[in-house]
Amino acid sequence: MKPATSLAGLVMLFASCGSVISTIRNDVPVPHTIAVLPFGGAAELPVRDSARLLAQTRLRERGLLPLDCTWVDRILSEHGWLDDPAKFDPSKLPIAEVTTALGVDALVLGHEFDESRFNLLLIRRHAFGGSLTMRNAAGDAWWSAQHSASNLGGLLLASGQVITEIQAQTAHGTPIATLALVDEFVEDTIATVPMQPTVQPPSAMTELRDLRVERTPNPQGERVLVEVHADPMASVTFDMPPWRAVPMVAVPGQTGLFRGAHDLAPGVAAAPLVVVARDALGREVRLEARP
Amino acid sequence: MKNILRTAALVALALAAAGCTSMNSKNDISPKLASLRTMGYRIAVMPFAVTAPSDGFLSDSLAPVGELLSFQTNRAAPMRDQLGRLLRTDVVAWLQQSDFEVVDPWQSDTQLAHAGFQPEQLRNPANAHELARLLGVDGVLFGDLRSWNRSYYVLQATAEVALHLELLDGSSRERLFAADRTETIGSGLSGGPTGYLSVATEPLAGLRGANLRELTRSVARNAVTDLNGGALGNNPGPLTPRLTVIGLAQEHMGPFQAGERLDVVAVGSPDCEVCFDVGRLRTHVPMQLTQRHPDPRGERATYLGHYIVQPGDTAGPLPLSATIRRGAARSNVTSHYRWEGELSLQGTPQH
Repeated sequence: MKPATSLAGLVMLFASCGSVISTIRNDVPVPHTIAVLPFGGAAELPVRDSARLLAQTRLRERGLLPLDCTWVDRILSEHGWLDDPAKFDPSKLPIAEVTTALGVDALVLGHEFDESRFNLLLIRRHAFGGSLTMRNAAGDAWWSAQHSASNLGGLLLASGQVITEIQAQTAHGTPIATLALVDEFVEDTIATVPMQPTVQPPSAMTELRDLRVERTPNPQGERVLVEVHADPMASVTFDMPPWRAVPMVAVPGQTGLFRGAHDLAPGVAAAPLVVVARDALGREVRLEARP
Repeated sequence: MKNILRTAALVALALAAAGCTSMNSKNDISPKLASLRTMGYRIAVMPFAVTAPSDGFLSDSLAPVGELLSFQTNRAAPMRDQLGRLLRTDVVAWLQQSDFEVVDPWQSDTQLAHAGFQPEQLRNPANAHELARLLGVDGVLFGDLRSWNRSYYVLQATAEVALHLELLDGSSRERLFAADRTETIGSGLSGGPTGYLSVATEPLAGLRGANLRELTRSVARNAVTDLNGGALGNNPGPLTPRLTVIGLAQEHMGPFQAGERLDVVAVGSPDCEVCFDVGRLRTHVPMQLTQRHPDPRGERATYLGHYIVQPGDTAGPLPLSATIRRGAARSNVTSHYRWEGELSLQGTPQH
């Protein structure tokens, strides 16, 4: 009797852990531009990254304006706030400084993301969950939510649909099942963010000008040095087929000047070079070097 | 009586054979798509059409599926428009994690509205060339929700969602990808009931809105996976390209200074695209195949890449990782590997 009672209790406990716990503070100003930072927790990094990207897209649909995640990561890295994404812990960030550096109204922080699974045939569970908060520079959270999306089953619970349960057993705990839980988690939590009037992105985009390419022989063959002027906050790279997306870096002390370099092996001809700049929203402009 | 029992048994067998959860997908993929994807193909996603038949369409049963529409910005819009928008949102959300560059739908919708395009023009693939030219994209993705229904047959209930996706190239007008994906959840006889009570209750339980919600998410996710030529994210399998070695090509003591080269070497599956990341600071730095190694267990290749540290590059300790991707005619799978060490950059400006 006791084992059966314990098992029934366990089932009820898991079944009850399914709803989103969310809070909205009306005394905190509603943010319009936001940055979704890397999520922290014990879940595998690719799974957390997948949840982060989904959350960014879903928040756009709620009327907020999130910045491009790749751009956010570069700014965090340049300031020393993001070294190893696998060990990133948002609770240690200086919120005010990060908010100012990114130029947003609020940060979306993800904590304690975890994935768990077990399968005892009679009962099985695969769950993914964590907590999300939207904090402004003062550290006040306008919105927060905590949730665990789970897939609960097993012959004990699904005795009325044996074939269904057999099919579910083969799919339990697979990467595809994880993505499905991530999808459900993000949809459920972001649904608690109140709809806002859609924020229009600024019309002005970064400009590229004064592109200069210099070639210098070196022991490796030839060093190609590229310089260009762009918006100081832009992410800039250059393509020189077959090499794509060679990073360029803002030159200290010369606002808006970016520099990058790449070595060509002897005998390799340099293909037409194109510089690409992306702004904080991921919008892109290109400038081709004249031959 | 015997005939009735025999008929019921045959129906039960047929339903069981049909399976309680099924996925059907027909894809037509151009051989060019894989290589276009690897070059950062830029696409815009148009508003979806909803041509699901009216019979069985859930236009009069909003309550059970109200939760499905919690995302909608315009609840006053017709049900079909709301559903089309929901599917489009789901597809765009997963495309953001694919190899395609996706234009923000709000941005493209605004541009097209200012250009005077009507809603029916945005759903017509014949306008792909003009739409691509106006939006400055390489291709245009169209979608059509062709089924969104629940059926109840006393001993069996079925929920079905069917989505059609079509990607057209803006300049050549060629169809690069077309997919018809149908997913169903069946409840009742096909699920294998074990008692009289479950025979009666399971079909009713199968009508719950959560099933349609699950199908909607699954159809969008799987359709985008097909368009991306393989799994989204890091899902290794038998055909996944691999790296057996990743690290610095030469031993280096201390931080890398401005002007120094950070040389990275990787060894793994041949004929793949390989790039390396220095933390999240410098990402997707390209690598080139430089050597092939015949091996009875399978050919290997060496890839080399480098990053020249610039003044202003100051960070660390940072992880070094590499991504390998194979873009064959029909599949595109990606793996991500990390070096066990860490490195630092100290490109202190020269004064």
